[in-house]
Amino acid sequence: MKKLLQLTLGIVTSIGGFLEVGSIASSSQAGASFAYQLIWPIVLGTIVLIFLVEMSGRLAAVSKLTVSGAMRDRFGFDYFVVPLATLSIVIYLVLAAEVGGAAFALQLVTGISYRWWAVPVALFAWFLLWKGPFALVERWVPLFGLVTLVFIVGAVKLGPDWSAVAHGLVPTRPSHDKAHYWFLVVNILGATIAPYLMYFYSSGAVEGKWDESYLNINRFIAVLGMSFGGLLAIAVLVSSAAVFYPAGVKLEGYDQIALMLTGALGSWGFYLFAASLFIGCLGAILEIALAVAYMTSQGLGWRWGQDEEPRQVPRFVLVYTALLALAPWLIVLGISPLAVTSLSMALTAATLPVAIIPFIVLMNDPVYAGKHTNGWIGNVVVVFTIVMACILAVVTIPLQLLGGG
Amino acid sequence: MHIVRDLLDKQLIDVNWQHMGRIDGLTMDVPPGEQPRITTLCVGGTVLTRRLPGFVGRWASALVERYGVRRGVPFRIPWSKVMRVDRVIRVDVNSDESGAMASSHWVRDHIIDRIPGA
Repeated sequence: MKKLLQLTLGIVTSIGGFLEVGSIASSSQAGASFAYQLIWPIVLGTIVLIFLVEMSGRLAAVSKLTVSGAMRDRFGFDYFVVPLATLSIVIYLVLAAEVGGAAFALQLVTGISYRWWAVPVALFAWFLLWKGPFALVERWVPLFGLVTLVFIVGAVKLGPDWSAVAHGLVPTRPSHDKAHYWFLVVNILGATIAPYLMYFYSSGAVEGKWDESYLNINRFIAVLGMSFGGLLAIAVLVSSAAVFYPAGVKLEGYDQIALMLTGALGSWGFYLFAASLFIGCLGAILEIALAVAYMTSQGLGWRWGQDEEPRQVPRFVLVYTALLALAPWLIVLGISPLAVTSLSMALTAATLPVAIIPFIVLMNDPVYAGKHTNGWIGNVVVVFTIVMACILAVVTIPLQLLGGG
Repeated sequence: MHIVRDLLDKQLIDVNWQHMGRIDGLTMDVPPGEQPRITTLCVGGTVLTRRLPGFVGRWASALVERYGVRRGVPFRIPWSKVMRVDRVIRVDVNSDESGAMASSHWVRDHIIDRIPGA
């Protein structure tokens, strides 16, 4: 039973992958512009994420090392510093986007501009990390996160064309706006397969003191947790497609996206959308701030742990405190949250290769994976992901210019 | 033993089972006609920043020399203090009472303790 409770770790990781502001934005844009045609990148991202998350958990359970710790161990400081530096730069924009998303959710409910909410949101997130143990993030975020199930209710009530939905599972060529189509594909994959998910999940597993007896439950958590998120992202896309595509609406801001559920659920739909956006973004803020603190501390050998008193792990606390202190200012300045989101997702895609390549080595090295090295299916998926990540990294900036906005 | 594979970059654990950094560098003694011997393990300071390439390394080293709590001087552990070499390296050092935790203690005393509610 105690092991089964670890499912919440999978759910919170999944929220950071699928229900944060980047995924909500890219899924709804995809639905509005291409109806159900872009479900396949969500499915592809989900499958890849299941494999990578499972590997991160397996590595932690067998070696008691996190992904970041193992990267420094196996590849040395000279390599480790590359994913650390790229993540630190990109993550600032991602974090700003999440703060913007949560702040916008508060604007929807209160009518007070998101610019005023950015600092309170960052402060609230910091307070939760400062006061709370890991269980606060791990148990409460998924519990409140259940409100996002409203997207599934909404999608079903809207009565979409289910055969068209099924067709969207298979990749097809775009009939119009090719650049925008591929831009959205890259954005969806970049929003879904984020390296910080792996750093967070493996650290959570080490904080939960996993050993080899957790290997089965780890597989279960990876499949169920990531499918939960993937299904919700599809529901967002389907709702958006059913509402916006026939009307030919071009989404330009979160205020339009927020109306996605009002047709199906009335004013409740509006408030539940705001609640979902808020909890998804808050979950992502907590997850990202922790992931960077984990990665830095583990890579440099500092003391770390969300269950420790802040005085015992000062440098770990300093990292997330500094990040959250810097995060709100782009939003306070009034830069459009949707623009920041779109750029941050594209840049995440560009940094993917350096984060994924270590998996193929670590997961095949008995020093780290023991008797539980990758099978051929796992290796095929990692190699495929590396190739895909390299392509994404090359095309993401040109596509941002050609197909964005 | 393979110095780079088994020692460099590994986690250091002190006598109280606390993390105390990673092995950022080593010093060796190479007497003529004898096997080279590891003399000390180095943690932090310019030993780490000098491993960065080109101007980034020089720049980062200048920064830690100027602003680092230990002015860029790495903490050195004599090889005789090494207790166990495994996936982590355990050493007979009390890190909190040595200079190894200087920057951690600085952050604790000057930042963490000043946050209300600490």
